Amino acid sequence: MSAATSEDRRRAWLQALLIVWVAFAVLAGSLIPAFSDQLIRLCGG
Amino acid sequence: MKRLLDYLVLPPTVSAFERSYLRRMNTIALWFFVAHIPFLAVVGWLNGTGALAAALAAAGGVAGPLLATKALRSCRQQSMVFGVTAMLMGALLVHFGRGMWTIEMHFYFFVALALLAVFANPMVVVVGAVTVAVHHFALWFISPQSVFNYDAPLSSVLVHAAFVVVESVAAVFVARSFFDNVIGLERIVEARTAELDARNREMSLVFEHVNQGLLTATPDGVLNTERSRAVDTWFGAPQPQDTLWSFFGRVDPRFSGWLQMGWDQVIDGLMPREVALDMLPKRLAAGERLFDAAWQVVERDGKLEQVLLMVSDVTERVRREEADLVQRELMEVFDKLSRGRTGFLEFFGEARAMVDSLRGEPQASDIEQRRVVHTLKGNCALFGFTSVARACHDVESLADEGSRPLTAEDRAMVIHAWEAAAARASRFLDEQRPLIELEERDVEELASAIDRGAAKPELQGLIDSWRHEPLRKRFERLGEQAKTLAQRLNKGEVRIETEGHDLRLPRERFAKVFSVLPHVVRNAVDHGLPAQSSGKDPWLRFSCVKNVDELVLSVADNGTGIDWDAVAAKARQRGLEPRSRTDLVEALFLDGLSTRNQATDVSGRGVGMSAVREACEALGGRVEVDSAPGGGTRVSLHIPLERHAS
Repeated sequence: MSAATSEDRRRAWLQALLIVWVAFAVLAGSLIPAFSDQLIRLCGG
Repeated sequence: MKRLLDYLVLPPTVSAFERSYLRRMNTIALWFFVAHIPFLAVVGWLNGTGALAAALAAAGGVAGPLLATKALRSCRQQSMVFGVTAMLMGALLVHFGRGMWTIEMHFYFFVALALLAVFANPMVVVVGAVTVAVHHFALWFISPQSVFNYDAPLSSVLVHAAFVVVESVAAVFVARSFFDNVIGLERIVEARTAELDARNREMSLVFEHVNQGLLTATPDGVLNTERSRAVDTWFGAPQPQDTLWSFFGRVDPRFSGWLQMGWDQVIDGLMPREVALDMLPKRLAAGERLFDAAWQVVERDGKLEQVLLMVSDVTERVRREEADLVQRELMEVFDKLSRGRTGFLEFFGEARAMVDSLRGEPQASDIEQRRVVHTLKGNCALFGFTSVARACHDVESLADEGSRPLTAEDRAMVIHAWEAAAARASRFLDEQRPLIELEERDVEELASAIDRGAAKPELQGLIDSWRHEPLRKRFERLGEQAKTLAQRLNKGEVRIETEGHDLRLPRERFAKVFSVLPHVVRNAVDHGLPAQSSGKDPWLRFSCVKNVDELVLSVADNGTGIDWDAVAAKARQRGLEPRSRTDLVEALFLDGLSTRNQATDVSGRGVGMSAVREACEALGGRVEVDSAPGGGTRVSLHIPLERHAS
């Protein structure tokens, strides 16, 4: 029972992370260019 | 709106096939997008937009589906994440590929949207379309140079959006069709399989419990595996590749042999199938049990596919019918016995002698044996022993059909039938107790002889004659036989006339003549008497006239008379050349000559008349036949007087 709960909890965290990723990819991902310029600079481009 | 939603959102049930398919597609898609990491790095390097940044951004794009494989249980939901990933990769490609190829990089979106249809889920396409729409509008505001390599107005974004919408609609349609017709097909097959399984279970239930043996065979006779349980219970389980005849050969070799002979005719199609099927055996014996076999062909487009055999256990029914027959026969025998004990006992003794003559190695020729069987048949029918008459008829038919002499088996069949019938009748018979049947007129006749002072020898002769049955009773029996036959043959009600019926003839001398008289009666009814439709009242006359030196026993009818042309034709077929009426009368007595082409159980074998002549000639007599077209026929047996009674 406790193993199942732990698994559920882990999955819930992962799902939350996925939602963040999707939000980023759909919305914040639109800001990639802004971030990418930073990224390029960080990468020494 | 609801219909649109129902179209876009798949039904909740996920089949095993769909799950397996999506797992495979999700894995392929993941590797496809992993391959984008080096690809985007190259694009970033070529365009001077930063290879490492492009690779890192692409890796971030792949993180989503990787995360989804752990976070989401549903394969469909995992697929939808690829909708976001695909568009994100498109955005990265346009961004890192910006410069002179910026617009060309947009082709990626259209390719990716189309590819998303492989997930067979419209929502994956919708997710992709929404993602790309949001990206474009947002970027156009925030960083237009990331999307367009010129100063594009909003209308340019809308044109792009319009193409995305058109393609998305098409991709949604393709995805849904894919789901319905390929993924869903599996579902349909599953449902159909389940339905077939249910029907198979129902059929098995029927096969397990039906009280009939059902089995099918290919045109080669090889048994199919499906059969009802009754087959195994009754005959044992067939072996693989068993044919109908090899299987039933272990149970009833006669059935099997007959079946194998008739099978080719069913298969080759030379004769109508119904006729060929009708020639297959219909009765099967397994130990003590009896079965009816019914045959049916299964054809497709006129071509024979299967032969169906339905076997029913008829043991009880047959036994019941046999018991009924035996019962009826006993009643008839009892009736005949009660009408005239003396005559019955005479018949019984004569019939037993005839049967005895068939025992052991035959002393007589085949034709003589046939006469015995034929005469036995006629007399047994006359005295109610129908089972013996039937056995005789069957034996005659078998020999005729095979154009062969009577065999030991044939004789055994007759003997067996007689012994069974005689054993049943013996309970009524008391042969050991000599009884004499007298009628009042017999006593009156004796009294009158005494009154007129008759001499002792005359009185002695009168009393001796009481040991013999009066002809009246014999004529009565023959009359009954004629009436029964006439009704069966649709000849109407026959009037019987008798003459000289008070005579009593000694059995020792006339036994053979009495036993052949039924042949004459059968011929008279079958060949002679007019059909009911002729409007003529049929009659038969039995007479016995005592002349000075001979006794004339005759049977006359008012029928159509003998067809002498037919007799002549039949005689010519036998290689004879009849020139006169005498020759034609001679031909009537030839063994095997009959004007009938087909023998029936009444007449037509050409045995009866020859037996009549043989019996008559054995007493030194002769047979005369008078017949004229339309004037009836008279068969007279002239027997010289010797020791006959009064």
